[in-house]
Amino acid sequence: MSKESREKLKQISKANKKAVNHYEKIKKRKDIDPSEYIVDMKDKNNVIEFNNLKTYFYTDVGIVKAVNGVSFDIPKGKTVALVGESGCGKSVTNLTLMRLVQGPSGQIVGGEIRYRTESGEVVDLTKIPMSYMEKIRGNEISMIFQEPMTSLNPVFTIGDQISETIELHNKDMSKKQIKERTIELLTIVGISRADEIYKSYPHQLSGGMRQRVMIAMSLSCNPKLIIADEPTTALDVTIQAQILDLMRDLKNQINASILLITHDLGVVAEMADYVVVMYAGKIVEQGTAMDIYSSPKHPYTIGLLKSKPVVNKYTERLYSISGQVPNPIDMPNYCYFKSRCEKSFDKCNGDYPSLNDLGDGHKVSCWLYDKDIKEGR
Amino acid sequence: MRQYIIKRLFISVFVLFGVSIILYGLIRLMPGDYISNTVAGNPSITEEMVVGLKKLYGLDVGIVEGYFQWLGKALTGDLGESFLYKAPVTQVIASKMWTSFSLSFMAFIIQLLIAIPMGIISATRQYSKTDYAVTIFSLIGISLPSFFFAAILQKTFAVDLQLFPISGMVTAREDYEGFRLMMDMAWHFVLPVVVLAFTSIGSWMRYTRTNMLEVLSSDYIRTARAKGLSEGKVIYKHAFRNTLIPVVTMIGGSIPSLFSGAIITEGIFAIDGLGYTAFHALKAGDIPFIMGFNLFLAFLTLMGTLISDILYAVVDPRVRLS
Repeated sequence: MSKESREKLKQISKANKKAVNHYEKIKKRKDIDPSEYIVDMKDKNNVIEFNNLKTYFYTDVGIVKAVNGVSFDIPKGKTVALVGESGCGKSVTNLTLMRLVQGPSGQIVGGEIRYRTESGEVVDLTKIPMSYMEKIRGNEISMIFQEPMTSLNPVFTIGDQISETIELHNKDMSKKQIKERTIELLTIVGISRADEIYKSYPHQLSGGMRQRVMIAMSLSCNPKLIIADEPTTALDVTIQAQILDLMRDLKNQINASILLITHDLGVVAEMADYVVVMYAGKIVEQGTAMDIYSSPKHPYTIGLLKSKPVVNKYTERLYSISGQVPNPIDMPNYCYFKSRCEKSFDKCNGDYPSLNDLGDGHKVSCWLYDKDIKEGR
Repeated sequence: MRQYIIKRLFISVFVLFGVSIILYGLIRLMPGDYISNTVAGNPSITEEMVVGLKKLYGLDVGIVEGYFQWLGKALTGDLGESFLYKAPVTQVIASKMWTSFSLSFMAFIIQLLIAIPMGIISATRQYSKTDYAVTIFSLIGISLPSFFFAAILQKTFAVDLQLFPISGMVTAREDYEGFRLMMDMAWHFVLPVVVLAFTSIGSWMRYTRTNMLEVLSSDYIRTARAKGLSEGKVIYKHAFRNTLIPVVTMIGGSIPSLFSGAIITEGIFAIDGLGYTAFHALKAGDIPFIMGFNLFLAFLTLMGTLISDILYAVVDPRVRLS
């Protein structure tokens, strides 16, 4: 290693340490004045409003801006899908929402996540104390993870694991009530022989069954928002359809919103009301599912839709977007998709394009549509 | 499960058999046998007397023949009579092993009580100052040779400060009985227990830490956090149970080895345990005792692995049912 590069690494680790210590100190404070996190909602009909959210990872080779200025809303009772390639920041966005980003390297460095709690208080989730967050997690906002095989604790029974959540957030319920509720939940998610499953350990169940258990767990306290992080990726296709149907039905029953994270556009078409497309930590396009599917604007979204196989349509070779996701460290200040974009032109060398509204809330971040927007179309 | 245990025990017999062949061969190949050791430097012993003595102790036959003679007796449960201690080997082992066990057991308990919490704390605060301090402390323990650490303790606490006895198991000429005797022995055990515990806290601590870190990074811990459990519950209920699986099996596997004695520490503190006894037998070339002792060690090792396998099934539901 040359002297310069060693010098550079040293500088990075020094800067990282300083930044991480700064954020950790803020995180560790016990008594946070409510005025720091009480905020106002932009729209009453939203459950969650992300505003310019930034989550960075301080790594040994530099800062990875995993979520870099993301803003979108989740309306009440709707499903919002967060779409993008692996490593584009989808999962980090939802982990940030749950305050589960793994420290000390991962830190929320800016922005707001506004949320109206059940008590009617509007808080910024990125700034509330951990003890407050623990009351919201699993109770008002719950989560279904990608890997049903490893997301359940192998040494506790299914019953124990579901009851734990209920017991934690409903202190007034008796042991018997909790057990009844747990079995009821297992029945709701379509598990027959719920009594038997109650006493089983996770390893005795199949992947689809475990994912149903995870869904039961996430429903246990009638949450206002369910985050589903690639809930069907690890399952085979027939089970996928069942799980998606189940989620949709249950969502309607308890009138919850879903934040669906996926890279599967088929799943999006089936489930989502709104779609947010992310690329390299930024939103490149967002709109209703209809907007995105019928008139995709951003070349990346167009590419994604083209690379999806279509039944009854013959193609020689399935389309793929050439190139790779750029190295997320020290990103240039022009459109991150430029090097892979088929339609890039002179203007793309300029600043990073801002996310502009094409009308009706369909937003795109691309220079191609700059003119249209300026002309007011 | 029962079938598995029977199979394991059956295999153990063969292992012990193999071990005994290797041991006997090695011992007989060692330079200087019991007779030449005892008669060395004694001018009044003649050549014929040596031959007579060798015949008496069964050392006049070749390795192969000698082994089968030993084996023939061993199969009937007779491990022979110790040359040095002039008593049946089994009896010597049985009388000494409890001393070794009580010494090692006390050290073992102290070790675990310190090492497991330390491992967990350092894992939950990875790369913090606490973590580094605990790691340095445990590495000092691992790196310190027990004889050296024992000598330091003897110098400071026995010679300079005169807080603890320098060696031995009981105070000479006091003839304590009952409870007083126990207290007196405990008093003598303090320094050796500290040596034994301190030198092995490190490995247990590191083992716990590694396992805890692995568990803490797993998906189900994230699930537990996402449920809204407090950090304490996440660590001491969800993570700890899973960390315990490998730790408990290791603990179970180590229990038999507590009987085997600590040769160096027992030697330095002149504690009349199995290690001390075996060391003298080895120096003297006491073939029956060395054979018996080493087979006992092999047996303990086999028991240890068997116990840890059984415990695995007890603590881990995934193993229990399949």
